[in-house]
Amino acid sequence: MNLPNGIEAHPMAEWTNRHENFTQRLTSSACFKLRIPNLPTSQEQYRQTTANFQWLIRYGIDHNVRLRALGKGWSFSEVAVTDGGLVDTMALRQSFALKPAMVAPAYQTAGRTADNLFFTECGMSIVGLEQQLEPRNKSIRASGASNGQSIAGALSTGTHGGAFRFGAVPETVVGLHLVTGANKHVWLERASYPVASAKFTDWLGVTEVCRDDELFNAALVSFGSFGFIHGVLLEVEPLFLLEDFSAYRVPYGPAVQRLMTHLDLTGLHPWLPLPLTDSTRQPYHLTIIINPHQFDVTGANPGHGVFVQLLFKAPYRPNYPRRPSPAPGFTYGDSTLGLIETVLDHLGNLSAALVPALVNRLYPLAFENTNGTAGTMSETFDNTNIRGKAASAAIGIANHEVPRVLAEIQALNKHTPFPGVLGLRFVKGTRATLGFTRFPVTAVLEFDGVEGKTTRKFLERIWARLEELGIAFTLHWGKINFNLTPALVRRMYGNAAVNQWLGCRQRLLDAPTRRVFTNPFMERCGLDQDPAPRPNPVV
Amino acid sequence: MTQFATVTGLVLVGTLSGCMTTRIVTGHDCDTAANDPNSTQLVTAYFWGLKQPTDLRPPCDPRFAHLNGVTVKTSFGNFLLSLVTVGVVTKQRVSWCCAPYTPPVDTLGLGPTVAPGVPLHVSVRP
Repeated sequence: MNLPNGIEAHPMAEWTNRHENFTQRLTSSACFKLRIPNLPTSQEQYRQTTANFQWLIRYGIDHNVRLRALGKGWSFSEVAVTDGGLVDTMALRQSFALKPAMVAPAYQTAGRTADNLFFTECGMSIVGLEQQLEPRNKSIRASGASNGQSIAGALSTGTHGGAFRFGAVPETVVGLHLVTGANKHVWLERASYPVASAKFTDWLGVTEVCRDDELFNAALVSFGSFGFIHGVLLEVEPLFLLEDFSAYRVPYGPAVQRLMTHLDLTGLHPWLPLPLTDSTRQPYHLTIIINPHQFDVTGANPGHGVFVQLLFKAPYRPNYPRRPSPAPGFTYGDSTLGLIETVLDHLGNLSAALVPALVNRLYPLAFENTNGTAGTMSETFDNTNIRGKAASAAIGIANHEVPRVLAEIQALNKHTPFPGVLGLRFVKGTRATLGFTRFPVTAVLEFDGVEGKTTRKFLERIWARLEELGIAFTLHWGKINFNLTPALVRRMYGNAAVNQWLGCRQRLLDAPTRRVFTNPFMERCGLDQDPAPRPNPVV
Repeated sequence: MTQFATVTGLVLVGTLSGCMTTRIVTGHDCDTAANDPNSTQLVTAYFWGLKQPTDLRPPCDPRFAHLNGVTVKTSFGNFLLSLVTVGVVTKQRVSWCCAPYTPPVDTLGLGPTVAPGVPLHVSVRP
């Protein structure tokens, strides 16, 4: 088969995700790798890649095979893969700064500047973006608190970080170039927030420009099912530092509870001397980590408190106390977590006795003392280097529900010990229609631990308990979420939002193209359906 | 029965997974996804290294052609094979990761634009 300039055959009979908790069988002959084509100008290269995406859609339709762009493979769920062919887009890393001629006048008259916009191809990693931006004295506005993902992958699954006054990765995106058919590719941005000028969309050569809030918000978190995301327009900002204020053991008393439920930082002074009156420093990121096996819900035992980390944004300066380099020596092996899983799965009831001791032993190893240090985004949220098999699930809840949910988890953990730790991050709500950070301030409660029966049993019980108590929650699309069903998705997001998302997908993709971009995960969640018809207005 | 299952599980894990992993990393960012089967190969040496596998040539983008990482795994099964054959057969699994070819940031809007479909040279690299 003769392939266009920039497409290579990339046969894969199966593929395992980065955290090794699932293996997806594939149609080997339908797997491809895209590279930046060999052409003289960046525009010709970019447009040829658009044509290559269209060629792939035509291939998918003609061969009746499903396709999905493959990111860095960080998702723990099958949301980002398909049972047909995977298209590796990780080598697509063209990027562009914009001059004012490329930017909508309305954007600039609102006091915004073109030099805070950055356009990049889908394969660009977060760390790659940082390497492009930081030497230009610019910074991304949010990451997933780790920088190994691709920008399109992090966006499409709603990767969140902990920017409690800003939001998740989708909030950094102001325009999307989507390839939505064999003869169609569109520029998508909000009508309420126009960014691109006609010169920019002409440069892309799009067949359609869509300025539509509903479409844009639906496309932001769409797991690669709204066509191929070719380009992403990001809003960035002047380079800044994140200053670290963290304490290993803070009693779970009123101060921490007010921090969680009202984002009130004032009670933390005995443990964290925060610069609350310094107008040059603004709170940005909040993380709380809890060892459920050493967690005193009464707050009486300071030894069984929680880890609290607050990062404050400050203007960049060249001299700052940098984070320590990782200590040399040994680390746990690639098979360690898998080995623990096997042991726990085979121990039966004995694992309940073993888990707390195991977690208590390993918990301190997860921490580096970074209190008092500072760093750019790339230095603060660098690569998460988990080795081998791991499990992670995350629920989104309204932040005022956190103490109630933690009490439930603590009670459950006494009966079914969780082989892992809990992380809490706080994120400003998203405008993405199916963004899982959907509450005004979403507390993202993460369960990070060993993959295996024990973990899955624990998660199932927590999810069931939250439903039983009527506590509204969402599940991270890219983490363990094996209980998702069409009914649960609709309970989480509401019928209106789900129908709106389905309707937008139908508006952008015709039926043959929708089939190419539908995967088994979407079928399981009922997201492959046509939207329910809207009731006719009463005349 | 439980003990038997545990022992069996341990043996299986030990046999099937990597028991010795050496990783050389200059950057964690790669131009491929993790666990790409196109970036891994099982190599074999015979007769105490007298017959060695030929050099691997990873198909990285020739415009950059650098590696960011190499991982060599020796599983318990590989170790056992070497032990049983007294070093006549030695196997290792080698994986690599290409450094991404990243062109310099281009700047759009420095010059006039023309209509789509016409060969364009609108953008100028800084």
